[in-house]
Amino acid sequence: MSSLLETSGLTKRFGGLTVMHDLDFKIQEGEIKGLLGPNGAGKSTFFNLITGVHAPSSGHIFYAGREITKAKPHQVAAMGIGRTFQLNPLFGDFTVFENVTMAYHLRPHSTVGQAFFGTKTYKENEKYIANSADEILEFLGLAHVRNELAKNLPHGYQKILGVARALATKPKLLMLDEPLGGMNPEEIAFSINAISKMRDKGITVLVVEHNMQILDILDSVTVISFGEKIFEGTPDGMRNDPTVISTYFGGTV
Amino acid sequence: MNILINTLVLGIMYILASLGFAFIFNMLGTINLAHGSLYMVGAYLCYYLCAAAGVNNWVAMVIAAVVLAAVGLLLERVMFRPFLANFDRIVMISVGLITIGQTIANILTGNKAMVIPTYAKGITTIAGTSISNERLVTFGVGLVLLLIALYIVNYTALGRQMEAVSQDRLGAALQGININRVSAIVCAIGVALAAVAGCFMGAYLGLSSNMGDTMNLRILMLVMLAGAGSMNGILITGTVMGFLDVIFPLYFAGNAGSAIPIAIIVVLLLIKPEGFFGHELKM
Amino acid sequence: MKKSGFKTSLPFLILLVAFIALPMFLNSRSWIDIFVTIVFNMVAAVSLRVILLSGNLSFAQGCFMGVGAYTAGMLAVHLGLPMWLTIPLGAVMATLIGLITGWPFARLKTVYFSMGTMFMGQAIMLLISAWKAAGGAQGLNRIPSLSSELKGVAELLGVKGYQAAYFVILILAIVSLVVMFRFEHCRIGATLRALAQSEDVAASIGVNPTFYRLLAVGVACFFIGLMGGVQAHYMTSISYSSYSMNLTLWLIMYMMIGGSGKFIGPMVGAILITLVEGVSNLLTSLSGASNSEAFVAFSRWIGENSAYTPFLTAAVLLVVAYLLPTGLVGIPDTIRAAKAKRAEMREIEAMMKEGGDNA
Repeated sequence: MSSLLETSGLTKRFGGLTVMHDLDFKIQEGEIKGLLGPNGAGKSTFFNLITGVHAPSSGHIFYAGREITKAKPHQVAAMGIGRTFQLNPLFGDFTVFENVTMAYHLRPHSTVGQAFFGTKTYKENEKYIANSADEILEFLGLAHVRNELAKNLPHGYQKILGVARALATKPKLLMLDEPLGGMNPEEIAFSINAISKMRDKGITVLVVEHNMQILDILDSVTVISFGEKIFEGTPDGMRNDPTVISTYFGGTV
Repeated sequence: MNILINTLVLGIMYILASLGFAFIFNMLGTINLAHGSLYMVGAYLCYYLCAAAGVNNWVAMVIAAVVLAAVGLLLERVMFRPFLANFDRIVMISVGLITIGQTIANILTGNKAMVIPTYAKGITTIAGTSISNERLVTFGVGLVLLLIALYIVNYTALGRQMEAVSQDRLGAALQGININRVSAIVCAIGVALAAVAGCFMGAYLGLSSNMGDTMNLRILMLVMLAGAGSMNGILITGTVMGFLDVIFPLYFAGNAGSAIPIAIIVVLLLIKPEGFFGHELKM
Repeated sequence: MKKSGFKTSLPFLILLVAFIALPMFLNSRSWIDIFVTIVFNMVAAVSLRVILLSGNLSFAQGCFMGVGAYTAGMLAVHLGLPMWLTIPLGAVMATLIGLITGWPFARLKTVYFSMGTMFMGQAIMLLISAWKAAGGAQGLNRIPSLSSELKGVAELLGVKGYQAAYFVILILAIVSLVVMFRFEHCRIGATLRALAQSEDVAASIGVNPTFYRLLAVGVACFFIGLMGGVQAHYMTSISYSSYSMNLTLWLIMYMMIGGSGKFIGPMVGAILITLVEGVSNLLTSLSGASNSEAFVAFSRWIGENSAYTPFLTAAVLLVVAYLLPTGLVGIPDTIRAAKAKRAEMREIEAMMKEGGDNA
């Protein structure tokens, strides 16, 4: 299998602080990979670098064989990389339904002209979008809050809605930023199940997460600490790796 | 030589008027639309204290500065503090205040020239050139105030607190900095400085009902050219602006004299809208 | 959820009828002037709101109206172009200048956009004031008059030239408003709102923030430029001071007082405030025909104190800012929310009482 996303020598400095050191990272098409690490390790920075929110200080990023190091966020999205956000993940003043329908901006795309004049293509697109959005809400268990304002949702639901929104962009690579944060055990079980089903839909998933329960569904995992890779391999390998254990818990086992 | 003096005078006054705006912008992250109006109110207040109440012009300046400092405190309390997250509301309040100030100015400005009594009479000769004492004093006092402001910003605890708040408001509060107090002090100082500049300019050039707008334009130019978070940049852009405003009216009559410097700034900002000396805005 | 089409369009229909019918009866020159001013302010305030939808507050709209006016005026005066060319060209020029000056700032945070437009608006007008060909300090005069142009048609219809001019302006305004309304209520409007709520999330679904911000600016500038162009030909004489920061501030006031949350907000604000501010002119012309001494005295008093009317508007604005941030058109919603809250509190109290009784 070919690597869908690859970074080489990825480095990021903010002023005098180096938050990412020469990171070489690979994710294969069709796998569910985890990016783990203690707080402040640079996981969210990694996301921001990939999606173009920040520009790397040095290094390269490749997606599906093309270099995307300098791509801007909306360009990265157009290439098929979807992401969720850890904080403020939604359009708060929109309803749940509107949040999802909005996310269909790229696929199918109605041009400004088509939208303004209400052409046949536009009307068909809108209809497709409405139906498809309802399907996603059904799949993620949000159908019953369809018309609630997103900002009024409980935190766990907001996170799930963030995933719904990212799915609506029909990504090839879905990057989830701490999707389980703030969820209760029921929601966590539901979400982990949903994430594992995404592979069947042909989506490659990269998950940043704190909660170790995610290890159960991961194919491979990278662990970083202070912006450097300290482990690469399988979830089982990670559980037993001394470097990882000392990073998380200090000392030796 | 004359050009140099005039540049320095204008430059210092522009810088003084802009400092408050820059403080508020860096610390609170929002713009004080009414800064030009407050500058004008300071000038008008000073004028009326002198003309109608016969107060000595230095005393009047101090009074105006104190009054405007109080206004600055009030603004921080009722406009900035409650609505930092809501730019729309700040705009509404600011526009209301600007309108009130402008209407007052319109009503009070008659046909006769309104000039604040000069702050220093006579002429001194330096290095073979005669310079009006007024200019010397204006520049001198301005310079002193500017140095005090710079000292506060760079060397005192208050200055460090200002820096902390401008970098991370919540973080600064968590560190125990009383962000409301710091903001209030900064607003008061900033607006007071604008008032002082207004008094000096009111004596130097006289009052006019559009002096608020004119200065507001200069303030915007200075702060934008300097860039976010750059106090020192303002020193440079302020002096440059003073220079341009002195040089061009010499060679071009009428509105063209002030128009050309503005055209230059327009081009500069189109090329580099984030300014030249500030820290990066987009990474 | 779509509200019933009739309920939402009722206010617009009422306004439409008013704008068509009233000028038929109140048809003196000064009345028509007032109606024309109201229409211009209305469209201008709505265009300001289009930009606000994308999360940016533009302080240059007054200036762009001036760009439209001066372009139309100068093309007519210096090149002798006919009105049906100068006016659209005025709109195009306003759009171009709006996009060029907006582009550097549309890439930055919204605060910078506001600062940038504040500067650009004043700078452009100052540059125009220094331009000899634009008439300099005296303004641009002797612009061909729309009213005169329409005299022939007007006589056929039995109305005066300036009345015909008003209806032409009204038609252009209606077109502008309909376009801007559709713009907002199709997917483009939703995209703008999404962008305004969160640029990061919008970008992550493929929305190009700069493109959409500039799209809003372009549309807004086109229609305000259009109004400016027509205004040049209606007033036949324009001066740069009427398109200064002052105009922009008034437009902002119209929008905020009326309510920036709804399409009809700026329209209501513009109508109301223009009437209030123009009341002295109104009364002067009314008193000319009046026999009542008290009325004449009253209108003269208003006329003498007309300089103070901005205080009234400013006071209303401050009241809105603190108590009614959704503006005048937001009053029904505010009342509804307050009633709902009160009902909720009563329910809670009732539940607590029941619980207490059961304890």
